[in-house]
Amino acid sequence: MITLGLILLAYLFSMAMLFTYKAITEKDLIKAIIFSASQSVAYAIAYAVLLTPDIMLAYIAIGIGVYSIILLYVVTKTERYESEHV
Amino acid sequence: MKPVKILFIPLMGLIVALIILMLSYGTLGYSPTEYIRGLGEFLLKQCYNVFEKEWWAGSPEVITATLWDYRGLDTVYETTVFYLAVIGCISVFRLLQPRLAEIAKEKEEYALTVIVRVATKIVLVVIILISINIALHGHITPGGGFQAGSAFAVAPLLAIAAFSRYFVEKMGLKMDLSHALRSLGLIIIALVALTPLFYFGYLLQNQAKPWSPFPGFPVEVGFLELSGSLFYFDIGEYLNVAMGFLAIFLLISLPEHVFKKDMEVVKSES
Repeated sequence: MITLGLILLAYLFSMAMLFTYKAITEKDLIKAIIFSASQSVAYAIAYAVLLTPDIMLAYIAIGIGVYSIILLYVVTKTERYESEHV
Repeated sequence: MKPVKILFIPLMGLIVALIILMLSYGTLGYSPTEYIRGLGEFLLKQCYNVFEKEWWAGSPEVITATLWDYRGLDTVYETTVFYLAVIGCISVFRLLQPRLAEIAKEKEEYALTVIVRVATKIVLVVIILISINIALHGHITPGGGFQAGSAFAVAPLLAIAAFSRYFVEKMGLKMDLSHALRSLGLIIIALVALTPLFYFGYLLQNQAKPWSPFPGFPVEVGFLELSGSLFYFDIGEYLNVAMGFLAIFLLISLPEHVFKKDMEVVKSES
């Protein structure tokens, strides 16, 4: 039986897939970090749907906060745009 | 590429709407089903069984009770692994003088705009308060030591990004403080874990059990609900994780020339 929770989960995980795809193909690294954080948002809501608010709390702090800020910090040390010829 | 872009905008709108919906639904008392599922029944029997107190862990928060009571040794090892990982990080950056970083003051002209700095100052206070709330309330509502520590970790990172490393040290969050509080957290965990042994109980015992003479940690002190040992474990874990992240961030944000200068001293001495 398909319940509301399962539909929500299917939607959230496909959104996460889409965001991951965008984060990989994006050439602007700042935008890629934002896509990666959005993927974390989708996963955090998915954890709330799966009734694990504990993991959701840690996921928000690490996936959206710490991880994004560390990557932004790393990008400031290199170039913002990924070049075609490496 | 284009159909993806057309799909993207309504989906983005939908995800924002979902966040608001889920948050309001979750905070207004969300109950998924009317019956208790198998896993929930098992966990409730082990953790908050008021009628049969030989299974009782004294905490309505099943995850924290499972982490620190039912599978206590796992979490102790996990905490130890985290502590050792931070020690490893510190030994990679083997600074001779930890205070050397204070000499390297960043110039004011590199600071971000006023808007960012004022917003960060407000957000910093909120993040630290919320992390303390998650830690001290972790045995009653969802949360706990690790979650609170990782929430706290965002605060020094934001301060380093918006202001400078020097600003974080001026706030009092120094390496020495990190070492002291991190070790204090581990000592709290060790002492609470060893206390039952003095009463001839077993290691990491929380509540009284029929086969063990230890009377158990107090579940309620006055109007405070402490849930036995879980409260102290959460505080220890919070100190360990929060200060561990702080130490790592202070080290990786060190300007390269300062770090290299310190390494050269090591090289010339050997």
